[in-house]
Amino acid sequence: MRDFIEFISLSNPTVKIVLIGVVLISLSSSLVGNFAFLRKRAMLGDAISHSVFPGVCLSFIVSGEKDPLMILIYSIVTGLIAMFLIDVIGRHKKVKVETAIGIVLSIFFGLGIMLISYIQGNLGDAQSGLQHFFFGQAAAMSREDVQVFLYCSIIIAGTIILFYKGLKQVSFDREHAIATGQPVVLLEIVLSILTVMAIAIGINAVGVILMAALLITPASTARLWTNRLFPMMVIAAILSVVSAIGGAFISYKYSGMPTGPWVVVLLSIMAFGSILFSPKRGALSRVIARKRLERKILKENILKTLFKLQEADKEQTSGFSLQEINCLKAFDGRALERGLKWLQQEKSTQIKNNKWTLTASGNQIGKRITRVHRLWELYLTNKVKLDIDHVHPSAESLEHIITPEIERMLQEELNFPDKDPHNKLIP
Amino acid sequence: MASKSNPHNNSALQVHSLSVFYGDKPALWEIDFELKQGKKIGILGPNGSGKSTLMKTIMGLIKPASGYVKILGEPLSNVRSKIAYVPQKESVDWDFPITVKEVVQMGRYKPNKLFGRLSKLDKELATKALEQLKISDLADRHIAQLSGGQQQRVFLARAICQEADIYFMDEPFTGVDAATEETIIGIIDELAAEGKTIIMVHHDLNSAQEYFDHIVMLNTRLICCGSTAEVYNQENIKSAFGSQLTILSEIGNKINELNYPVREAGESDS
Repeated sequence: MRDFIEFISLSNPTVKIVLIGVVLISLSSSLVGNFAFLRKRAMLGDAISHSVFPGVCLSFIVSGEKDPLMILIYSIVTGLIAMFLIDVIGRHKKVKVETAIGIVLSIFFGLGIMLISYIQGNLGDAQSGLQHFFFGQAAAMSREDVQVFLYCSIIIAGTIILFYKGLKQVSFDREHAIATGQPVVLLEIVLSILTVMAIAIGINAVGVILMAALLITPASTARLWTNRLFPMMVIAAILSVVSAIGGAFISYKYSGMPTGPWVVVLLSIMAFGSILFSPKRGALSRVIARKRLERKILKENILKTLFKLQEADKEQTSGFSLQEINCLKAFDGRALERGLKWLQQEKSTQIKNNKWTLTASGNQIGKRITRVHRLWELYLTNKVKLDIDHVHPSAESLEHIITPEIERMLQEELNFPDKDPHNKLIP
Repeated sequence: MASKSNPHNNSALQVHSLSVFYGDKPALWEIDFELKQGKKIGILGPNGSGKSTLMKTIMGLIKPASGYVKILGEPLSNVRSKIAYVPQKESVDWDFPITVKEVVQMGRYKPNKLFGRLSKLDKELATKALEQLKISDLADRHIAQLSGGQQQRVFLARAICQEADIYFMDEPFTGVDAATEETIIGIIDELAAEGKTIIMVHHDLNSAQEYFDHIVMLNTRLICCGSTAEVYNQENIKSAFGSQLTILSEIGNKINELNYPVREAGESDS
C-alpha cells in the first residue's frame, strides 16, 4: 500500500513521466476505439498499428535520430496510406475488407522489418530503441515523448467532443447520415486521422503487436455494462486509465515486469470479468436468472398440483400428504419438500398434521396456472389444430411463461371458454 | 411521360435516363419518369427488380452509370434539407448502444449545425414524432428491445421530425405487425393532407391500389408510371411481375464486368 501511495504521488520523476505517458496513451486509444468497435473495424486497428511501423523506421532514416514529433508525423503518414489502400482494395468486388486488411498489414509490416534490418546494418548502434516499437517500452519514454502524447490526446479528445453528434450518427446509420447531407466523408477522414494518431502514440507503450487490444478491449468491455454510447465511452475511459495505472505500478513494483503488456493483461482480465459478471449480458447473471426460473417453475407446479387435488376432491379439506401430491405429479422428493417450505414462508401453503393445504393466495396462483394450462391446450387444439394427445407437454412448460396479457388474448381469441379439450373446467 | 424538358413548377422528382450497374444484381436500365408533388406514390416491382437500388440512387447512396436525378427541380445537394429518407430497417445494427429517443432526435441533426447542441424546438419535434408514432412510452428503451414493428416506427419518427417536403421510404411495411401498418398508413395520409409527397418502395401488389394515388412499376426497366387508375391493370402487372428480361441483366453484368461506358464518349445527358 505504501508503495502504491509513493507511486501514485508522482514523487519519483521517472515514474511520473511513464505514468502520465501510459495514461494518456491508453485514454486516447480507448476514446477512438469506441468508434472503431461500433463501426465493426476492430481488425483495422491491428492493420494500422503494423503499418505505422515502417513510418517509425523511415523517420529515423531521414532524420537520423529519434525525434518523437518526426516519428509521429511519419507514422501517421504511413498509417493513413495503409488505411487508404485497405479502402481501395476492399472496394474491389472480388476482395473482402478482411482480405484487404490482411494484405496491407503484411506488406507494411514486412516493409518495416526490411527498413529496420537496413538501419541495423548500415546506420550502426544509434538505432537502439527502434525495436521497442515491436513490444513497446514504456520505461524508455522521455519528457519530449510525453509532451507529444499530451498534444495528441488533447487533439483526439477535443475533436471527438466537437464532432460527437456526427460521429454517433455516422457510426449508427451511415446511409441516413449521407441522405441528410452530413459531411460523412469529412467525418470519416477525421476519425481515420484520430485513429492513426492514437495508434502512432500507443505503440510507444505496448508496441505494434498488442496495440489492437488497447484500442478495442476497453470499448468492447464497456459495451457489456451499458446500452448507451456516452456512458460506454466514460466506462471505457475509466477502464483504460485504471489498467494504465495498474500496469505502470506493477512494472514499478516488480523488476523485470513490462508496463505495456501488463496494461493489456489487466484490460483482458477486466474484459473476462465483465463477460462473467456483467448484468444481463454476463454469464453469471444468466445462470442466476435460470436458477430463479427453475425455482418459480417448481413452486408453480406444486401450487397447481395442490389446486388440482382440491378440485378433484371437494370434501377433503384436511390437506394432502407428500405421497398424495407425488401421486398426481411426480416431483423429485427433495425438491417437493424444499418447494413446499419456500411456499410456506411465502404464506402460499400451510401444513397441519403432516398434511398440506393452500392458503388463499396460494389458491389464486394454483388456479391461474391451471387456467392458463387449459386455455393453452384449448388454443392448440382449436386454433393450431394439433391432436389432443399432443397438447399437454407444451402446456406443461408454457404455463409458467404465459403473461396476464397473453392470457387475456387467449381468452378473447377463444371467446372466454369454460371447458378445455379434455372436457375439464377452466377455472 | 415527361421528356428532358424544363422542370415543372410542382415537380417532386425527375429521373432522367438513369442506368445503374450494381454488383451482380440486376441493374436499372434507362429509367425515365417524373412525379408531381403532394401525391402518395408507390414504386412497385418484383424482388430484385431494382426498386431499392432506384431509391438509393435517388438518395445519392449509389452512383449511377448514366443519367441524373432532380428533386423539386434541383440537384439533390441543394434540397437535402427538404427530403427525409427512411431506409430499410435491416440497414443498421439494432444492437448499437443508443435509445429510441436518441435515434429519433437524429432526424434533427443538421449539417450546418454539426457542432451545436439540439435546440429546445428540436427536442420538442422529436417528442411530437414519438407521440405521432405511438412510441412515447418506449423513448428511453434501448433499440435492441424493440419488435420489428416498433423499429420501423422509430425510423419513421426520425423522418417525421425532419419536417421534410418529400419522404422517401424503402419498404416500410416489411416485417411489421398489423397495428404498425395501420399507424404508418395514418401518418402517410396525414402527411399527404399537409401537401407533402410520399414516395415509397412497396412489394405488396394487393394493398398498392388502396394505398397509393400514383404508381411506378419497375422491372430493371420502367414498366409504367401514372395515376393508379391509369396504370394499375393486368397488362402492366404482368409485364412487371411476369418475367424478367434476362438479356437486359446479362448485358448489364457484361457492362459491369468490362467497366464499359453505357454511352459513347462525348454524349452528355445533362
